[in-house]
Amino acid sequence: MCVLNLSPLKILYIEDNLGDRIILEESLSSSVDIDALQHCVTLKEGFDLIQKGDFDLILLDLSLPDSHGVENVKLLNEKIGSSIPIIVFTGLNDSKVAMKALKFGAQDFLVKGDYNLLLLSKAIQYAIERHKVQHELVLKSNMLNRAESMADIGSWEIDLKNNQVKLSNGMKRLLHLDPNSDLISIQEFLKFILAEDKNSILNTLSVTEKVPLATAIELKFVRKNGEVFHSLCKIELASTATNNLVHGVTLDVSYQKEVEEVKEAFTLQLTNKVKERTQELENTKRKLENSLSKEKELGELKSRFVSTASHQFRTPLTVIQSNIGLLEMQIGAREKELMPFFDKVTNRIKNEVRRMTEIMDDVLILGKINSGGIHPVFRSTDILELCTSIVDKHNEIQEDGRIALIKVMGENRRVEMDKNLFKDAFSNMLSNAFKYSIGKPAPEVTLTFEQKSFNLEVKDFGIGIPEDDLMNLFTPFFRASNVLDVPGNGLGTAIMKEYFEINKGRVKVESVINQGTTINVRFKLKENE
Amino acid sequence: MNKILLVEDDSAIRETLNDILELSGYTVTTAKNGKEGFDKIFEFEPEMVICDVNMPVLSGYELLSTINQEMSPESLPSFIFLTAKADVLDIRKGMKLGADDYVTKPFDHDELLRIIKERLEKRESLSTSNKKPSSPDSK
Repeated sequence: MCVLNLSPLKILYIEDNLGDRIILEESLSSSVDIDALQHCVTLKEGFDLIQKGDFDLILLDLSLPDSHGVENVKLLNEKIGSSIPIIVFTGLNDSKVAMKALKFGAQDFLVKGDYNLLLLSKAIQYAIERHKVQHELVLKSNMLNRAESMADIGSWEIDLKNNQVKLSNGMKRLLHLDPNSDLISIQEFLKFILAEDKNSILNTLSVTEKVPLATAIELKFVRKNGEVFHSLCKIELASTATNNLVHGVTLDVSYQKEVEEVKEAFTLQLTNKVKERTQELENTKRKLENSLSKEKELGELKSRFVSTASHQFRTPLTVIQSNIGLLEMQIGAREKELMPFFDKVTNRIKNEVRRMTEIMDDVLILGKINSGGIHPVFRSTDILELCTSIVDKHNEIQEDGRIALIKVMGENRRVEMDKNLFKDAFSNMLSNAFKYSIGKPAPEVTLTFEQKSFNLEVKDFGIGIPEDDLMNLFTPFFRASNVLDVPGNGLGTAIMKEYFEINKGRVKVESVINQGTTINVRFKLKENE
Repeated sequence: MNKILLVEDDSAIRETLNDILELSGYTVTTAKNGKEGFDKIFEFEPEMVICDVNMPVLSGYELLSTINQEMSPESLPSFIFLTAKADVLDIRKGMKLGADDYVTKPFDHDELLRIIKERLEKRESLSTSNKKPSSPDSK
């Protein structure tokens, strides 16, 4: 006879009938360590023992002093949370009671007097194993429910053959259905999907039937309360030989969808903003380009106007001047006594013609400078010789006989220079120095040759330039407020500065009113000069 | 009397100058542009040309360079440009082309007459010495 060894098991036997107890203990004694078999009489005592002990199995009689019938199973299981397998002993061979006991969670039932050791030990072993499996199943199911709930996931299974859809707890929760609700038909299931998406799932189902590959689709479900939620579903054919099954998992993505929509709206807004700004920038750029080209056009127009006007004015001036000459020739020959008066008048006219001519000459030069029409020719120049000849020329024409002297510091060297521009600029400098210092000592010219530079300085002891006027000294047509009736058109210094700058000189002015002005021009020299 | 050709496109200047030169005793012919001036040089054979720079059809520069090519050096008339002082950089161009002098507009009639006289005297002395190649003074 095959006897199973149940010795490591701890069994609780709840039984009030002594006779039944003895029979059982005898039956088990050969395979169970009798010390491991504990016994009590009432359900209450059973509860207490279970609290303390660590039992593998409970053998339960249905008729106890404090409780009676199949309710015992229910009460006990509720108390212990179905943590220990229960085998029911009953004196009644009543299949109805037995079935009810099983429904309440008993693993098996044995009829008193109708078992042997083999049957009993098998029942015990199976009960333990079955309970273990069931318990694990419950744990896993709980775990699944928890996972589904935490992940906003639901799963379902469509039985195409039997027109049934099984919904997981998670799916029921997503649809706001009662967790205890039963199977539904495919048609009922489709009612939970938004009308516009129905074709989408039907197509997927028909494709899935043929291709057993997981397909992902987006579906909008309608909850029992009418609320719609976005979901991502994965659908897969899981047919067996007998069943045509489709498994599906549904992930509620309403929140993500909402976030995405907000993000999309934001991105769209941002994109529009960027587009707007880009357009604005482009407009600004175009405006800028327009105004730039207009300004350039205007500049060209200006320089063309200056040049044309200057040339055109010259013609009438030439006619006026030469006709005065003609008059002089005629009158001079015939009316000797009128000549002094005639000379006075013609000289006034001639002077004004000259003044106007000078203005136009200077304006023309400035116009040329501004439009880049000056093309300097740099040649090695004996600067001392050049300066001396210019100073001599100015000394000669001073009516008060003043003579400017040149002081040379360092060793004279040849310098790369546009001679004509330098000559004009230096002449202007010198002529101003004389012009604005009438009655004062003559101006002093100093040439300083250093290793990398050459300095030209003209110092006068004249009326000086008011501090407020210094910054405008080189502005065309500007004349200082203290020039009084010294003639000039305010263009000379502007041209002087431009000419020196073309020759790579930097002009610096220092002046104290009524003490004099010093203009210093510094030219940087190349090493080999 | 010396013959002067006046080439100038502005009629007022042309007529005034014509009067001044005639009053000073010169024989004057005028032309309105370089092209007309070119024809008159061969027709009139002046000793001197007084010529504006900016003119329609043919400019003063073009006229000078054309006669430089067309005429033998000894038959070339003296050439004086009438120009604007502000074009001092352009004046060099005229002098390089072989002009004898330039007068800036507007000009003083005394100045102009002085330049003309000096130029003609210089020319006279040159041609006199040229005409006596076998003179015992020349070597």
